Amino acid sequence: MSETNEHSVPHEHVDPLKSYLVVFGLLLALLLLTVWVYHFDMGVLNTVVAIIIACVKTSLVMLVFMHLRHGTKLTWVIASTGFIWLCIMITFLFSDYLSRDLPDPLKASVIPVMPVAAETPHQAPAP
Amino acid sequence: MEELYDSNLKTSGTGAVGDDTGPLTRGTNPHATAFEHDQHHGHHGLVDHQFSDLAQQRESGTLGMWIFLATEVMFIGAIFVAYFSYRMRDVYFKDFEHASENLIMWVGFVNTFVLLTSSLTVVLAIRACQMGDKKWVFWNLILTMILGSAFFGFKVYEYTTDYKEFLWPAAPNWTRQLEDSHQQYFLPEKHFIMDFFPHKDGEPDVTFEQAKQQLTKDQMDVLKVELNHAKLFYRFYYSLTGLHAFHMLVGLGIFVFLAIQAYRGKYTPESHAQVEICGLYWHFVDIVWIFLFPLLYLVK
Repeated sequence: MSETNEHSVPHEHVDPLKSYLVVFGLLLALLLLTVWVYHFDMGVLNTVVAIIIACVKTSLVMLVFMHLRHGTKLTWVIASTGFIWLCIMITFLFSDYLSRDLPDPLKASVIPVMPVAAETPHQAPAP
Repeated sequence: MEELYDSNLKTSGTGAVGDDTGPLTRGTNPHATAFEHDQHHGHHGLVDHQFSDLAQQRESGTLGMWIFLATEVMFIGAIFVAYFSYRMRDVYFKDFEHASENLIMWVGFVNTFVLLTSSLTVVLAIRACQMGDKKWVFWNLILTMILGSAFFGFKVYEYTTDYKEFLWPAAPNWTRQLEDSHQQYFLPEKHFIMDFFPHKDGEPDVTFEQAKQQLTKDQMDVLKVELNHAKLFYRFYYSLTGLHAFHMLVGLGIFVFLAIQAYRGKYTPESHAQVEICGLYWHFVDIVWIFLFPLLYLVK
């Protein structure tokens, strides 16, 4: 805004139609990728990959659809504050949760399981 | 500053091309063409008196929406974090996975597609505003509303099915139905019960009815705990999707208003802040769903 000449009509950036369509195509491709990746068993990585893909999609939407790439620095600061505070909360909360062995409050009263007669349970649900 | 607002300009603005002697045209380029002059006058009526020019007014509007969205990120983000604080623990994760299998995955997928497409129509509406194409502003807004309503149609179908299948966070009859042998509906605990029996090619050897009768009391106790974990999952599922659906409802209301304004031809290349700002809100709701879909429907 600061560069705007007061004698000229301040114009917004008009993005070419193609850029929107390309981003839309990318978003659909990433959606299909999410579902495709889901069918592989990668343990914890499944969740990590899903979150990374979601973050990429979010960045695309924010930068192009929400016009953040033409936004001022102030807009960038405001747009990132929510995520920064969220990151602080995640960091402190999970540094606590992940560093100790938490008991399962719902499982406290459970007694050991006996296998079904003449059947081998494929999984022994240990408490 | 020649951008100072004067309410007289609202009425005299566009017509007063030749009037370049009065105080209202102070600061304008005397060599400006009639067209530029005309445009300049037109802008005065669009700038509210607390802003110095259109660009500042536009930026203030979008900035206000970004501040609101930042609070929304923290609000919905906190629920996501709470969800993850359970989900990351093995005892819960296994049960969350089973609970998630009961959700209708294709509905989540179709709804993601619908929302992404509606985001596209919103930016196309904004672009039509910038190009001064009033007809397409209106039709893109209508398309957005149709897609938003389609999302709701799927949502209603999904919630209704969930209700019939007892996927409630507080379904009182889950454990009771374990003891009653007869059930009418597909029960949410099916996956959990089948875990106690050997599988052959992914299919259990026993029927569901036999399985329920063969469970010992101890196994039943374990099952009840697992089902409590599943209920916790559904609690998160309904809070997150419910909140999102509420935001969609608000967004749809806003878009009805926008479409009416667009129909009256209110949005011009210079003045379409309402579409731009409401578009930001709509994209945010879309982003929330982008995270909801893999984290609730694709648990593995």
